[in-house]
Amino acid sequence: MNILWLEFAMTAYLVVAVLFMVYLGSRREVLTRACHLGTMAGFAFHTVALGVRWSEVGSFPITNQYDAASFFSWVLVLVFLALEYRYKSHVLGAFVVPLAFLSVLSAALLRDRVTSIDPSLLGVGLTLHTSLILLGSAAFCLSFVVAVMYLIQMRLLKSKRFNSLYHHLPPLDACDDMIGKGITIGFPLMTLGILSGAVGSKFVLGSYWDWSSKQILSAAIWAFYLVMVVGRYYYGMRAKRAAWLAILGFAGVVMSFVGIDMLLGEDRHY
Amino acid sequence: MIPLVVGLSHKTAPVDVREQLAFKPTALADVCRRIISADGAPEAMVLSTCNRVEVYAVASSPDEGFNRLSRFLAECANGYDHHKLNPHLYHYPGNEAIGHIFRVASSLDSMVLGEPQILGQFKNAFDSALTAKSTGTILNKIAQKAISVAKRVRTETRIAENAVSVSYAAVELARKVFSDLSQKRVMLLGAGEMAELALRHLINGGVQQVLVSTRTLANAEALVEQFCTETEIDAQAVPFEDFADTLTQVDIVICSTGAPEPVISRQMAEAVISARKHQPIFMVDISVPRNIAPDVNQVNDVYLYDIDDLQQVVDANLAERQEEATKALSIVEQEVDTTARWIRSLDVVPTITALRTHAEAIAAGETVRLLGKLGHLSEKDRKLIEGIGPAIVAKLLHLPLSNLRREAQNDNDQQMVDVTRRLFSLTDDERPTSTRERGKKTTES
Repeated sequence: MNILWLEFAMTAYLVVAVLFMVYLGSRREVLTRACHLGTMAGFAFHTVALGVRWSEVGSFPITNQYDAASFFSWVLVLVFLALEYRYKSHVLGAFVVPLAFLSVLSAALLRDRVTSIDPSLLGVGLTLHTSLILLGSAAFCLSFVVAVMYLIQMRLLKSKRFNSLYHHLPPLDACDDMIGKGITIGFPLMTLGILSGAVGSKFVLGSYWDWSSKQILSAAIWAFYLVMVVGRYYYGMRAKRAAWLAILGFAGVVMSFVGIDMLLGEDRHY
Repeated sequence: MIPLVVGLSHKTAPVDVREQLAFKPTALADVCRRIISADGAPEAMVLSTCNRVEVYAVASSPDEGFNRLSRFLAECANGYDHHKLNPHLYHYPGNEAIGHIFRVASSLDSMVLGEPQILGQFKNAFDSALTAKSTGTILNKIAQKAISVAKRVRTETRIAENAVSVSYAAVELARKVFSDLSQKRVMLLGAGEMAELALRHLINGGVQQVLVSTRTLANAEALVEQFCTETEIDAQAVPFEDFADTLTQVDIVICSTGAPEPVISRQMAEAVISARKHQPIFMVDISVPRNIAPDVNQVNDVYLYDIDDLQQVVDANLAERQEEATKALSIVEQEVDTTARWIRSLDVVPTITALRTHAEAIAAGETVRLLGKLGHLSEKDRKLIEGIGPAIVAKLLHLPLSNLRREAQNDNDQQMVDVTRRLFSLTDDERPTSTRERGKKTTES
């Protein structure tokens, strides 16, 4: 497996993550250009890495944990770049890029554990299922990141510490809106992802539902986000509580990604 | 000619001295005319604000110029004699003067660093001087440059960003909770002066719905009427007994009632926030003693700030401005340098003119002499020969003159000018009379 390009991307993300820490430490808009160019470079390397991997595998490369983690962070960086362009605000990068770095790093570390997948499982159905789940997770991840920003800003405002971080972080209600957007976009993607998975499971394994721990966890997460979406739009569940829920929800998503496989050693790669 | 600054400011003179000197904006043009006609200086401009009175002028000799201008200022200050005023005056010649003028216009010398009014006052002062026709090449250049430097400082540094007044700090904080103030409803509780000022800042920041509640309903109604006539906002008075019920509908509370005990308690805030389904509320308590119980800040989604917190924001911002000022000063330094070069290059103009006149006279004389001998030439040929002289002069002088101009911008330019004058035996009557040259003249004679 050729991970040279991914290593380039990883290096770029690491450098940018460090630059962003310097950025957060100053009240001024320092290093934003370097951060932006660095992120763009990392993203370009990352895109090449995905392309190389695609040609290696022969199909869209998201069917094992290595590829999934790589694709997931690629989407995350893409969304950050789009939001940075749209809102001319850089601070989100200070949280997203380090996360993308960790995700790519975990991908690189996981690559030895990758087991080849039964070719019969490969197909449009699986690709669709995994992509939807990953896109949904990326949206939830964004809600998570912004929720962390919300809670930090909230704490700084409450404790009246008007430091450089306070200056960079967006207003509370802007964070709150972004949390809402993340879950509102993520939820339908996740729903479709789970449905397509169930249908795929019927074709490949013969049943929609086989009570595997991963399925149960997925259903629980789905229900959790359902409560969040409904709570937000019908019961005004916003602000601090919404931020905490977004963090908890994403913790669940991460658990279902890595936790179950590692903890229970269950042999399920999709 | 050297630019000069004579004046006093909040840094050198107490207010009782400054008020003696301060000129009305309408009087500035007249003051400029008086300086010129009293032979105080060939060019003059006067800046007068509540924090400073300064005369910008040019003079051939700084000492003489300073003397005349100081005397003039003393005459303007009623009941102040020359010697009493002198300790408060500062005198800057040459580059120091240019630098000072740039710093003043860029608000780097202001009492509140980076405050925006000074540039407008500076422009007015320049306009008055233009009306009085009291400025010339040098002061026009310096004043125009000062305005462009001030704009550069404003755009290239963050000197004017962030609140430096307590009432504006409230708006800055509110913007960290709410991104769009135009959708938010504000309640003014009590009508302290600073609270009212904070509310005005919020209205400037986009707030459109205001509720006012004071112990005496008539006062609230008067304020509401005032707001409605001054601005196009939706303002309403609320009886003080009812303010607690209205709190659930407001996003921002500015409180300054003068009551000896809190009017908003923690229980009240908890009830309000729960009725609002935890939509955040931003509260500013400008009263001393405080009118909102301090532990209200511990209620989730309520953000409470008292006067000390606002002062803390202001202090941090002032420190930030101080840092930005260093950046601004280096911009000023650069610009002083280019302006000083430009002014120095003016010194060489008479020499250049003299040299060119000298050469053109020779060429013209020779052409006339030659044409006298060639009477048989056609009109066309005569035109051709008449053209040769000026063409040769222009080509021959092009390089020496541009070298001379370039050298003149450097500090040690005088040598080249003197050599040129001696080489061509140029007469002295057109030479500029700057101090440097005067010194030379006396040593020469």
